[in-house]
Amino acid sequence: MASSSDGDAQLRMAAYELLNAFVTNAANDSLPVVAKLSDIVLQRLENTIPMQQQIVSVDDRNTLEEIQTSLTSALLV
Amino acid sequence: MSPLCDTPLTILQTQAEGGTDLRPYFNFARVAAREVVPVLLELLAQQDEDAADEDYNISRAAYQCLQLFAQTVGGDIVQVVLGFVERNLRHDDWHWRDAAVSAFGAIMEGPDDKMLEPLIKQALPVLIQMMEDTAVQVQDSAAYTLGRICENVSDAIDPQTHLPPLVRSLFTGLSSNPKMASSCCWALMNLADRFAGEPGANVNPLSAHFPDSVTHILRVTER
Repeated sequence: MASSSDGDAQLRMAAYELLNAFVTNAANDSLPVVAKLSDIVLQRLENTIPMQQQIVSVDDRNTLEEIQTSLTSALLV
Repeated sequence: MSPLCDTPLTILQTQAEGGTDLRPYFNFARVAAREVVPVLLELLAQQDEDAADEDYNISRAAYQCLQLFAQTVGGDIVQVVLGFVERNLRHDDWHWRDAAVSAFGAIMEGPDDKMLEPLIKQALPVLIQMMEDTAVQVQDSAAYTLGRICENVSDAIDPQTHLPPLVRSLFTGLSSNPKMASSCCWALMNLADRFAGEPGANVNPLSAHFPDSVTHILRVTER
């Protein structure tokens, strides 16, 4: 897993929050896109699970948890 | 310089804040504004290029103070700030361009919307253009000021004429430079919120932009 700087991590979290904002405020005509989005997010979340076994460093583990949290919140919306 | 300015600025901030609570101080803030606001505007141009996001310095203190004065004295502040903005928006020195853009953003809350709307309609194309200024600080301030408009006076943004270029330039900014990415993110969040329409609406002004926006965000999160 590529290590990311703090800035990248912050941007990624902010971008997922932005995604949530768009989805929360979407009008009905955007729902098909939201449905496809759920598939993508779910896929990304599934991809992170095998990584849990491979990760060694604390930093990488924190990063992985951050990503998983962001993805899960996106799904909840 | 910083310790010299910090204390007077803190006092002014407290006074400006006090203006919103106590009627007797209201006029004091208004009278003080006439003397103080021009000074604050000059101080905006003393940016610290190496400042981290959390750092507090003269320029940021002046910005907060200006914001507070705008909230306290409202429309009275517009004329003097506007004069400053017009004089410095195209200055050769980026410090002054940045100060001008920031000053405009600072007064988006306080003065009456009706007063601000025509100014914003004029300013929007200019601010969008300044997201491509040669100085990254100016780009970021432009994005932030656009965020302030979206947050406080979103009615001034016309969905037909303003929204498409605004959305386009904010997303471009989001991907182009990490230094302005968070300002763009914040501005876009405000847009998403303000243009949501009624709950359960079939369509809203952002509908047309939705698929591309989502694609763009997904790409950013992939990095």
